[in-house]
Amino acid sequence: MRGVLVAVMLVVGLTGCAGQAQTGSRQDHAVARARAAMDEAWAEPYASSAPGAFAAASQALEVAESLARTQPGSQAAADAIYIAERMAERARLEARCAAAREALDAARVQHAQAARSLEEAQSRLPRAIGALDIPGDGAPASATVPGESHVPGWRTGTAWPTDVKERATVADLPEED
Amino acid sequence: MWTYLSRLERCLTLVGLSALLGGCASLGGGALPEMGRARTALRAAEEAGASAEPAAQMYVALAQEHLERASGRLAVGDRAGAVGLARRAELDAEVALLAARETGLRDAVHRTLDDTGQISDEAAKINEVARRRAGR
Repeated sequence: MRGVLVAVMLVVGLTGCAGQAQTGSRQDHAVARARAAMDEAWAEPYASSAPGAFAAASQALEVAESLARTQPGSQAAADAIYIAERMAERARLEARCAAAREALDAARVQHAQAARSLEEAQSRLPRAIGALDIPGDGAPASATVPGESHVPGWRTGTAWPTDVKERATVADLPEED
Repeated sequence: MWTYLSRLERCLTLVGLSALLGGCASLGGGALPEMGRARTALRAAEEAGASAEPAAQMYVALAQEHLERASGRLAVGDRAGAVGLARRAELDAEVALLAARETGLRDAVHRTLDDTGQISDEAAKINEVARRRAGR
């Protein structure tokens, strides 16, 4: 009877240890994943643009690693590891947002330059028509230039259409030959 | 009925009611600031369109799930468990918000560059017309 009791206690003890070891192993894996997420975040070109998020993520990872060592398998460790991984992702996304914001600023500058170029081009075009003595008093100037019937006429002095599709119909030029 | 109670009974009734109200308040979601913050973060993510953004949808779902679980833990009096889950939910929601924001910014960059390309093409076409006409 005593032997059976000892055996049962041993089995229970071993099962408990095995369960704990499995949880610990799962947490080790989770810590490794959080570390990898942090490394990935640091690899972002704009990582330095989000110092607050990176500092918080690094601190959270330290706490998670510490808890995984001191309280392996605990709920507190599991929460800390989860939070560390999410903070690393948050830092990575903050860096990516900073990069995207800068790209958007650069794109807007290019857009403004292109818009200015278009305005200049629009302002030059009526002068070119005027130089050719094309009616410029508001009358429609259809097929104004011989050999360029693919360019529909327009009223001199009127603004070039702002709508992209409308512009495309007005200035449907063939490619440069 | 209140007038028929003795002073001691009145005191006991008031103490009991206070305890009951305090207990109810501690069970409610508003008692945990972490849960309030998580809900605010989730609302911000949803308002930013994270629910419709594939890169953010998973995080929104996780935030909702963690918030529900946190409420469940709080209902059974497990405050520590509820705090942990609420913090998870808050970070899930923050990641969802950033994922949606990043996608929005990238889309804006592409749209701006596409439009810039069209404007440049049109400017080039107009310049070409002007050049040809001036040359004649």
